[in-house]
Amino acid sequence: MLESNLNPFEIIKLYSGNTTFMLMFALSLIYLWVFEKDKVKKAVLVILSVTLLVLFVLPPFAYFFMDRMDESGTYYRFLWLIPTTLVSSYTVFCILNRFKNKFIKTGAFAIVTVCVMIGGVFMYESPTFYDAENLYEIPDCVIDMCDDILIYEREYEVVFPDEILQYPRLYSAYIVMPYGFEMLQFQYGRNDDIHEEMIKDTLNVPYLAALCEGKHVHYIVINQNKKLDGKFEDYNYEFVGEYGDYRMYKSTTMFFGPWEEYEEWLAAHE
Amino acid sequence: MIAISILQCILYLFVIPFCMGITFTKHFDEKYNTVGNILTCGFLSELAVFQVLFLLFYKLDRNLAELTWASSSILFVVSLVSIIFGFKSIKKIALPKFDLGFLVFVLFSVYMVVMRNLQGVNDGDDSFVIGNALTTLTTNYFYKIDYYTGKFITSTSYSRHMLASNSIFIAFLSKVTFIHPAILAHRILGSFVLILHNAIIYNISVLLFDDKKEKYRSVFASFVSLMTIWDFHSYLTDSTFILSRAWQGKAQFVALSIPFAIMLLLMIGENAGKKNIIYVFIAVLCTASVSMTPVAIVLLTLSLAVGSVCVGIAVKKIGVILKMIPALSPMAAFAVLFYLFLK
Repeated sequence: MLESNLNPFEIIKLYSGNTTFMLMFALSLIYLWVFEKDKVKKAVLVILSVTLLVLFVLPPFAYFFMDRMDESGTYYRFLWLIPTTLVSSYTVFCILNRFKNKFIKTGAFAIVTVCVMIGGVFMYESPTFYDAENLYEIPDCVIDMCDDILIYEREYEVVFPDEILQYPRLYSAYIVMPYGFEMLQFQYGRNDDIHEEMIKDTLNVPYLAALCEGKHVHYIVINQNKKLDGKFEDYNYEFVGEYGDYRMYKSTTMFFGPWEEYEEWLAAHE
Repeated sequence: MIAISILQCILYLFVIPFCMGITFTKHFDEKYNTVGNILTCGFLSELAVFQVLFLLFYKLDRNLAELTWASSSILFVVSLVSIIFGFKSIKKIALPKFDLGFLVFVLFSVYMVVMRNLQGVNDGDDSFVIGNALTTLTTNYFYKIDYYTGKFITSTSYSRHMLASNSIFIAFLSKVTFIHPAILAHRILGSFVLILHNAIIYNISVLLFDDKKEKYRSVFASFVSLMTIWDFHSYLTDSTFILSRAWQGKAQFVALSIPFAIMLLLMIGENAGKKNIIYVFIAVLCTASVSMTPVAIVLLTLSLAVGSVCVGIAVKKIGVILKMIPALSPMAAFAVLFYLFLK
C-alpha cells in the first residue's frame, strides 16, 4: 500500500521508477497516434491508454476513487489498466517494419533490446525475491519450529517476532497467535501488550512471561539479537532450541496433550 | 498419493478448462481458436462458476466440503456438455508457427516459470491469501476464523475481501488435489498463471500482426516478456505483480484479466462487434475478475466501457457500445453485493 496523501502525479512518479519505460511508453503513444493507420489498434492501444491516463489524473475521478471509495493506498492499481508494455513493444515493431534492409532491421532490434536491458530494472535482482528454501517457500526455521510445536493435531498458542509473523499460519492453521500479521499491515488500532513488549530492543522477561502466561501462550519465539532482561527459565518457560536466528521457549505449566486427555491432566494438576 | 495429486491437478487446471474453454473459442475466428485461448477462456470460466457458487454457499452458511462437491459436480457436467458439443472444433485448433522466434518465446516463458519456482517472495499478502485458504481447508468453514491469528472473527474487517473467492478457490483446489495450499499456490498455480499470461500475450500478437507480418508475432511476444522481466521500476508495476505473486487474486487480475480484456477489445474491433459470443465471454470475464479482486468491479468495468466507446467510434458502430452494457451487467450486481457486504 502507498501513503494516502500522494497525488496522482506523485503516484505515477513512484510507479515509473527511473522513468525509462514510462518515457518509452509516452514516445510510443505519440508515434502510434501519428503513424498508426489501423483504427481499431489505435483506439485500443492509444486512445484507450490516453483516456485512462487522463482519468487517472483528473481531480474529480481521483477524489472519487481515493476518498469516496477509500482506495488511496491502492490507487496505483489504476495504472495497471494501461497496456504500457504492449504499446511500447508494438511501436518498436512498427518502427522496425519501416526498415527495408534486413541487417539494419536486425541491428536496430538488437540495439533496442540492449537499451531495454540497460534502462530497465531486472526483476529477479529485486529485494522482493529470495532463494526459496523449500517447496512451501516458507523459511526453513519457521517450518522446523512449527514441526516441533505441533505435537498433536490441536491448536497451540505461539508468540512470534515481527520478522517471521506472516509465515507460521501459512504452514499450519493449528498455530494460533495472540496477534498476527494484521498488527503490521493494518494495525487496526489494536494495542497488544505482548506485541508492544516484543518489539523493544531489550525484553523485560518477567513481564513478557507473565503476559504470555496470562494469555495462555504455549510457546514464545525470540530473535537472538534481542537483549533479555532476565531468564525465561525462571518464569515458567523452558528453552526448547535454536532455529536459525531465533530461540524458542515452551511453557512448563500448560497442557500440551490431545484434548481427550485434558480432563485427566486437569485432575492431576488440581 | 502423488500420482493422484498430479492427475487431479491436470484435471482441474487443464482438462476442465480445456473442455469449458472450447465452448467459447469454437465461435471465435479460426486463427484465435488456439490452445492458449481455450485454456485461458476455460480457466476464467472455471473461476466464474466457482465465484457464483462460493457466494451462494457462503450466503447459505454451507461449508467447504459441500462447496467442493457442488463445484466439482457442476464443473464436470459443464465440461462434459461443452466437450460433447465442441468436440468437432478440436480438429480446427490453430497451432502457432514453430520457428526460431517461437522457440525463443517458449524459452522466455520457461525462464519465468523456473524463476518463479527458484525464488520465494517476501510478501505479506500471503498471510491473507494462503492463510485464509489453509484456515478454510482446516476448519471447513468460511470466514469464521481469523486467518491472521487463528482466533474467532469478531469484526467484519474481512468482508471487503470476501467478494473475491481467490483464496477459497486455492482451498478448493488444495482439497481436491491433496496438496498443501502454500505449495499449490506458490508452485503450481503461480506457474500455471504465468503460462496463461504468456499465452494471452502470444494471442494478442496474433491480433496485432496480420498474416503478412506473421514473422513478428513470436518476436513481439518474446520482446513483451523481456520488457516484463526488466520492469522492476517499482514494487507497484503490473510486471512486478505478475512475476512475483501470480497466485494472488490481484496478480491474476493483472496477468490474465487485463490483457485478455485488451485482446477481446481488439477482437471486437476486428469483427466490428458482430460476434456476440465475445460479449457473452466478457460477462464471464467480469465474474472471474471479481473472484480475483473486488477492485475489478471499478477497474475492469471502466477499462471495458471506455474501450468499447473507443472501438465503437473507430469502427463507427454504436452496437459495439450498446452490447457492452449487458455484458458488464454482472459488475452492477457485484457492486450492489459489495455495498451490501460493506454495510
